[in-house]
Amino acid sequence: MAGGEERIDVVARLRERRKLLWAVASGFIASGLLVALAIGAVTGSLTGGLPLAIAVAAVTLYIAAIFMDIVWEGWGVQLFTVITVIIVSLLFLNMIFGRQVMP
Amino acid sequence: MSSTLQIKRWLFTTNHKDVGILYLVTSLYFFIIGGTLALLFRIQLSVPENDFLDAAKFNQAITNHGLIMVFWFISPLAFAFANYFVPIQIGAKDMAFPRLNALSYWLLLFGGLLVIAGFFMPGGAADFGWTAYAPLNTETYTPNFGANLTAFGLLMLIASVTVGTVNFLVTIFQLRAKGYKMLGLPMFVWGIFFTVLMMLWAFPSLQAGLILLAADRILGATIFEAPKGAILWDHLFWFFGHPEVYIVLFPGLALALDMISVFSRRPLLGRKVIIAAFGAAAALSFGVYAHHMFMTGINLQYLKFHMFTTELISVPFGVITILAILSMIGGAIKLTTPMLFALGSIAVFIIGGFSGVFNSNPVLDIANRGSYWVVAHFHYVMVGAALFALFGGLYYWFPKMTGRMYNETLGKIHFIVSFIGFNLLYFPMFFLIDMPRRIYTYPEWTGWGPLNFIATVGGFIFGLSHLIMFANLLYSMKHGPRVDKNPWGAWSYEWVIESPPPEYNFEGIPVVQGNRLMVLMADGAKPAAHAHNSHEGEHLSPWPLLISLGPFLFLLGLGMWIAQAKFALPLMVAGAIISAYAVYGWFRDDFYERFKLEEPPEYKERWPFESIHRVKLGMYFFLFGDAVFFAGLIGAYIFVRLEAPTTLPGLVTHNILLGLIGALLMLWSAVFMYAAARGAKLGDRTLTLAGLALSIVLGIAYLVVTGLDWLGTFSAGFTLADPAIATSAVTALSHALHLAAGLLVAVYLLLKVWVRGFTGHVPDTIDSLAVYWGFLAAVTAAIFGVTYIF
Amino acid sequence: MFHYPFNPAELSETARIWWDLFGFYLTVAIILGVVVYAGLVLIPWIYSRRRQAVDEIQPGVIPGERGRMAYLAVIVILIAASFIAIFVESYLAVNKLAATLEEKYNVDIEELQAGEADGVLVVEVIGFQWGWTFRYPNGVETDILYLPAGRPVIFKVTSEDVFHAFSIPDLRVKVDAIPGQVNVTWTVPEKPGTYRVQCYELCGVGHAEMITKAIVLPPEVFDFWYESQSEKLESEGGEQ
Repeated sequence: MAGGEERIDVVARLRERRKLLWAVASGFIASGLLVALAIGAVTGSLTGGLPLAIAVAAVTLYIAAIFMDIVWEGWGVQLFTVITVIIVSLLFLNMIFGRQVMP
Repeated sequence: MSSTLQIKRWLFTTNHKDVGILYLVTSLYFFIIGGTLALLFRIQLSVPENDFLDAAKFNQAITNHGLIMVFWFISPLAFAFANYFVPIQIGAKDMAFPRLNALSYWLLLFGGLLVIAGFFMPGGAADFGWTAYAPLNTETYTPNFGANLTAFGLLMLIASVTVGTVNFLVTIFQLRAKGYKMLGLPMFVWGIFFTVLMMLWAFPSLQAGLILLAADRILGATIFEAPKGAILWDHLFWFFGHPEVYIVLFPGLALALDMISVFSRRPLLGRKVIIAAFGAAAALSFGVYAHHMFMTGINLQYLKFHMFTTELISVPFGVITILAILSMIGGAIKLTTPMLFALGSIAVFIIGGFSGVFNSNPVLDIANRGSYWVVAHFHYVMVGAALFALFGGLYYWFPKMTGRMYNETLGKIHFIVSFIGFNLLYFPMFFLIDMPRRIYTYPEWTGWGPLNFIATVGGFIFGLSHLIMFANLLYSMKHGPRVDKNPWGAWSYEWVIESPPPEYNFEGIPVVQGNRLMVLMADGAKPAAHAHNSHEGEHLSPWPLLISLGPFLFLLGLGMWIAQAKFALPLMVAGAIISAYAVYGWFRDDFYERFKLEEPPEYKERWPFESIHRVKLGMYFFLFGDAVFFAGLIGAYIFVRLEAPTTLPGLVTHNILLGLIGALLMLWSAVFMYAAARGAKLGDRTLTLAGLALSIVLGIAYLVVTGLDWLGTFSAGFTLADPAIATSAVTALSHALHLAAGLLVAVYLLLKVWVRGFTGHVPDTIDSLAVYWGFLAAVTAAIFGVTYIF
Repeated sequence: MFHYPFNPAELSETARIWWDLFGFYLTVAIILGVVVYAGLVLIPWIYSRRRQAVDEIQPGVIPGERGRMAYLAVIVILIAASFIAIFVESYLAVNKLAATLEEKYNVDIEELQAGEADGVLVVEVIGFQWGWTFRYPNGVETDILYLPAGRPVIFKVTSEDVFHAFSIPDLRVKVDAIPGQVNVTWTVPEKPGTYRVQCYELCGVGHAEMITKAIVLPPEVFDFWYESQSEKLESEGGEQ
């Protein structure tokens, strides 16, 4: 019994360490993405439109998924995350399409 | 109990049943206020060219009638029952966060009082209708100082709703009795579950709209006065506003289903189908709202899509209604007062639903929009269906809450009189399809006089009929015959325990085995003591009250200060001091872990969140709602940029290098907070302290850098009069306030770990804070990506 | 002064489309309503008179599942079918509203947008707190709306200050008047007479007084009025 608990503890500790490594690595990756976003904007290759929207959404979701621990949670949290993303997208789509002129 | 103890109990209580009763009393109090306002303007409308109320008073009356009835009566009445009965029905001893539950109540009460205080401000209360269409809601067109208080009151309400939503979701997910599957829960719990889910994602949109409106009214921005601002408000309001209709409807409708099942002695037909229908309606509710905007001239393809979804939503509601009716076949129906109210609720809901389908179409909307047809329609849904069912619930649960029975004859008389009055009040309005809403008077030649007179008579019958209920229940509370714990022969958990329920609901451990709801005694006949160390007064906390009172006084003072009234500054100072003291008090209680109310997780059914701590789960739900709040703000910026070609992109108005540095600082602040959480989980105190400290430093650095950037923007001559600047400034400010609140908690946790180490829930709290920080970093990236570049 | 004719659908082209669709909805609602209300009244009436042999609700026992999948599916399909019928009819009506102007009156939408269409009267409607200004192509501005019978009229609706809603309810004309944008709607008035014009969105304390008349004139009378107004405008312009 005690041995089992110890083993779980070891597994949990390993998991925490792996999460930490991932987070530090993701810190660098996300920093790179943000810098790329800025460069893309300044050079004019990302101003406005769909490419910008996709780039921003991708960076945001990546940071959220890693640092909000969502990638490590069970399917319950992940399901609610997906629903939230859909609802947020709905809000944006309404703001973009619900105007006089079709974009 | 002595009277001081009684006062202390009701002010400081965190017990879900006490909070439920506070909700109940408060909602009925607001019902009387909202109802009185309604009767006043019904008198005004009873005959043509009446001069009982002038236009200004009439507009204030209808506006506050709408606000109070929707936000401070029907929903709080539903949540009175939810507070009282959801924990019992799922087999829990209290809510997941008892103090937050009390906080929800006090925020709601003080928010409502702020709105009412508007009547006493120079210029009077808000008078732009409860939908507050832009730009009428801006200071230019509504200089009434009461309108500011309305906005503040609504913001307090949203805070209340947010806290309550998180609490109910965690409670329903994690505090069910061991073995209690979600699908076995009573329909009422399901109704509340879908209600709070819609609240979670709908209210933040209104919050975004109100904060932008506050910027307009107080900081001199012109977001809603700018061209197309009206459409922006429509989107933000109705994204919230349509789900809100179902938020009001669902608890009542679900409760009606439970009562129909109990009083016809038949299980519901197709329970799972009904639950799925509720879910489908809740999901669809977010994609139908443009039917409120059919006449705004937005593009036809978009409107056709919303016409489709609006008509589609009639399918789940049709399924619920039909199955409810068919469920009764073959039963032995007892037409008690609650059953009559449940059937009455379904009866008026059918008319409300059918008339709603008429509104789903841009062609029919040519006549319906803004007319009394719409007034009739939504009163049939929100008053008829919801109120009848909830008043039925009041009779249904009265013996449980008091241990005494009401007078059945008077109850039936109340139903018959109110049902006749209701239909007399609202049915004629369908024939007033040509009469515009919200006009304070009308000329005689319109021919609207007779129907309006009938409606007013009906209104008085309906309004006064509730006096029968009040008299009946107040008398029966003291003098009604005593009844045993299950007078209706109902099945759910509240009927298994005594009436009124004991302080912690179950004198033992609630466990569900198969389909049996049981309460196991821990050792022999003695109540299980280990679930709570319940010595006297431990569950009392003054902080929920004070933490709501502080902002109330502060916002009241602020509203008065804008109106240049006397005593404004002392009120604001007092409010600020009380708020600060209450926050300090709450932290201090937690520092010494004085407030412990928790059931052991191993006694609970926690699917599908078995392995996740309740604080972290609560944090997740809060952030899922908060994501919509920031989406609303960033969406407003995108909308403004698309609609106003004169606004400049962030690349011009901002220093992009500072923006990038800020985003990176926030990102690494999140990395260090994440590391602190890992340290807490690993028991590594050094890693946690270092992570927290670095995270705090980088967080502050982010605030400084962002502040510098905004200083640069403003000194370059850009002002809040530019709607793009205003929306992005409000977004940045909201984010900064989120971060500031987080920094406060981070400093507290740093001190606690430093002084006391990893005691209590500290590791899980840090873990939750890391999630919060990750969210803030993601929002920063979105803000940087959108408002600095687009 | 405000006459209400026998058949409200004959007042204008848009009224006809509206009443047709309303009639369809009302028919469906009444048929379904009779069935549903019959159930809602008869079932409690019948089953409140008998006692059941086996009580299926037991204290402390979660009630069992009821309803065979096939039975439930039939109910859902029946409801979905009525939804589809309503949707198809609605969709056709919306398209009809958009297409009638083009097909029945040969109005070319593109020409109209360029301001060149023949036989179409374009009236600019400007809402303000609290009243309406109607501006005709010849520059005449009135506060009473004069319309020719039998001729398509296009309304270009906007607002000077807050959100209003422009409507001639009897003719089934309604569109929101929103500051900063122009909304377009149309009708073809068919019967000469006087109709109510009113604001349908709360716009401040004067909301109830934001009411005026639309006078639909026989075409030749309208032309006479229109010409005389043009001349009056010219002579006024000459004097200045």
